[in-house]
Amino acid sequence: MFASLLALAALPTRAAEMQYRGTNQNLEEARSLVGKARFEEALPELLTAEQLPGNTNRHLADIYALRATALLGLGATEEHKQDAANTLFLLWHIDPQGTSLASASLPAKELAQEVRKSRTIVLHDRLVTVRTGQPIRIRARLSGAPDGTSLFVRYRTEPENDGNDLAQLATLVDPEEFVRVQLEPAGGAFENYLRPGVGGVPADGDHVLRYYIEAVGPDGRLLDSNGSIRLPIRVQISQTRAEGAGVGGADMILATLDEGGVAAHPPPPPRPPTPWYQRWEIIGPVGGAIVAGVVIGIVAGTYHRPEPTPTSGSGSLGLVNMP
Amino acid sequence: MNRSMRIPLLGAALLLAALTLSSCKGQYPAVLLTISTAPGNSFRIPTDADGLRLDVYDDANNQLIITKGFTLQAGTNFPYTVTLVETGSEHAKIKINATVTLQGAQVGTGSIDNVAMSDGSTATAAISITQH
Repeated sequence: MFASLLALAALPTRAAEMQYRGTNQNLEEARSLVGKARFEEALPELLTAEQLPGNTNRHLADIYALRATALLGLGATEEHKQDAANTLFLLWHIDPQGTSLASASLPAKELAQEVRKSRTIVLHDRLVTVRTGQPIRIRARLSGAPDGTSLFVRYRTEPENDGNDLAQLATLVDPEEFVRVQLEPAGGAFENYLRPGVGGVPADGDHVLRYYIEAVGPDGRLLDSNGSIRLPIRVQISQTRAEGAGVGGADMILATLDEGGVAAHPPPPPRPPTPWYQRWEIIGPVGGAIVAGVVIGIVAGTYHRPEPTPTSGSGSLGLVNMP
Repeated sequence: MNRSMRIPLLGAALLLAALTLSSCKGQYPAVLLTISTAPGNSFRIPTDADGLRLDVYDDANNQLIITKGFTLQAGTNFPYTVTLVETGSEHAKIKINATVTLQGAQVGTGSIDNVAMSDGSTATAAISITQH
């Protein structure tokens, strides 16, 4: 009886997860193409997948891992390697543990480690939801940074239903509107707490916190930023929702936030019918006939060349052209 | 393959086929001539013969079309073959005189006439050289 009640209690959660989690169809298609080593076809799928609204951190991390795999699978040219390195650089910002690299190819994994060692990266489990009234811990680590590098979190808060589209407002946002707080060294990392009622952090109600973390070198130069003023990390400050962060376990929550409660990725419309000139059952035979025609043409052309080949032999005198 | 690539490739294949087929041209009339010695005749090259001259005539008006001389190299021997190709004016039939020489002196002759030159094929003809 008790078990039945537990099962019933679990049902809404599972249903909600199914509703909000969503599946990025283009990502799944790209994953399949990469699995079949069809890298050239996978890249545009990944581009589309990345541009779809409602991507979770997990989606993005997977997209970047697959993109790096596909780029390096196309051939380790300098251009591909550079693109893959830039992609993996983004991946580390979203997935500081590199869990999404599990499905990446070995060259992508090796390049990811190379990128992590060679470039300054702010490694940070991005917050997704935090509970109102509780101190918000901002914690990050540094990779490939020179000694003396400092970390600063810049944040601002706004009402949850403000309706502002920060992407559009970003050009109008003054960096000074973001409160700047330095993260202090703490056990091999850097961290600080945003306390309710201090520095504009709300003490109650539902709000949205936007933040990014900057790494500043000893000379005052900006070395890296996880999130940015144009694309800050969005956190839901909620009185009711469970806390979550990172790429694991918070996908459903993030999808909910991003889409305002609708499915993150509604099913895509059915594919339009394939035009006749792209259907293999048509271009196959036609192409075959063309190839056969080309072969016959080449053979015929060769056979009917105007210069007959003289018969070779020890007494061959060659060819004489009569005027 | 990217689907968007198929159509240009199809067009390219069609163009290639058209170009290939359009480049086909009928073969010039030709004759594969075999010059051998008559039975009982033989030449040691180059002690008995060191040259061969062919005189080709239009069989209709007996007009000389071309004269072509060859040096017979040591290590080779009769029969010799040569391919005559009509790349210039047309001749329905030709006549060929073959002269074998030694240091310019005639040491053997042979001829053939009524050799038909037909467009699109290589005819065969044979001359038998009689030693003088």
